[in-house]
Amino acid sequence: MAMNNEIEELFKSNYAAMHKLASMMLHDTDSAHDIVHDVFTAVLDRTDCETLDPGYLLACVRNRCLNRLRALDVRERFRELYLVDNSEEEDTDEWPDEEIIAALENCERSLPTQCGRVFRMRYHNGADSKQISAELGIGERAVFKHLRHALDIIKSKLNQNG
Amino acid sequence: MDKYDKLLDAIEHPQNYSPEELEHIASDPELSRLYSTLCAARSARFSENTLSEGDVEREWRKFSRRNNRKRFAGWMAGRKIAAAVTIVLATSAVLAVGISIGLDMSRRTPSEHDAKTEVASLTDSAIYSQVIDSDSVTIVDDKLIFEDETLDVILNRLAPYYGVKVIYRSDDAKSVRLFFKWESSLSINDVIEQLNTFNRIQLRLDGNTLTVN
Repeated sequence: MAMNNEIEELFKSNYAAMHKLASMMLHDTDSAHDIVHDVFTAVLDRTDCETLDPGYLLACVRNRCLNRLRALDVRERFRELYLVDNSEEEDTDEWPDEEIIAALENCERSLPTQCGRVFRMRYHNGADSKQISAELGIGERAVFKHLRHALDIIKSKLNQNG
Repeated sequence: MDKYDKLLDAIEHPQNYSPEELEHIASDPELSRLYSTLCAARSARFSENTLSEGDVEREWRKFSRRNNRKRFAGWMAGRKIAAAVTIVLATSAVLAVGISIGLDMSRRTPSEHDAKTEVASLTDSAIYSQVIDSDSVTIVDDKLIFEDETLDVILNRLAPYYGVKVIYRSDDAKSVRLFFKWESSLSINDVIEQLNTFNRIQLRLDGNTLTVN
């Protein structure tokens, strides 16, 4: 078992980064707190003296999140926009990587104003079509068209950059 | 409806698709990449906020409180070797006495100051558990953790399991409060032995009758 002050030090210097990773993967800050607490509880139970570096702690968070996502049915994952992991071939070690987020931001800059607004409300904030339609005073059909337009732009941008 | 429309529609209305159809959509390399990009958009929202130092401090306090409680349960589990038992008595007055016998000292060597902290935090966790549990008996698989419970409550709970009848010769003993971790693997004699390490109560088994003095 690691010494108490060592744990406190590890906890305080890594908690925020671990929590951010878990929230990004689970899209939920409360579950993210649970995951990080679980990781540190497991650390307390460890009897070996292996190095507990930030990389190890983040890997623990990632694995616990992936386990939680894998337990979900595919419909649930689509609904919550969770990563659908096709295990073997896909490399989830880096997810969600900075690269894809940077590429996305780049794409979003090219979206027309209203289209970008709809896109961010739907995918960033997780609002559903009904809410977006009510808030912007447009039909749900129009919401879908904006999303499709955004997808086309993102698709061509991603193809350009290989 | 082309495959891109289908991807968007599947995200909007996954209930209209069978799991196989959704897996099929996700297995298309191009759609999979687009889907991942949309996931990243949802994730990006959560990359904006970083917890403040105050938030982390609050989580640390929560963690260390739970950990003290857990460590205590760990102590109780350490009783396996003969009489390695820890029982904390809290009388109705604010007197709390900790007794630890045959404790695996390599686990931890508490200083006097530590010991005081431990008792204080146990009181905290007992209050905490009353908030989250309907009572202060926590059921974990085939274990029961009694936190600051009276002997009466503990024995009422355990007696049916062992099929024994409890008789009190002393009302005083009934209201003695204990922290006690029970496991289904313990025999009635193990339980009696452990409870008897605490000298204010004396249990004796005669046939199916458990007498408490």
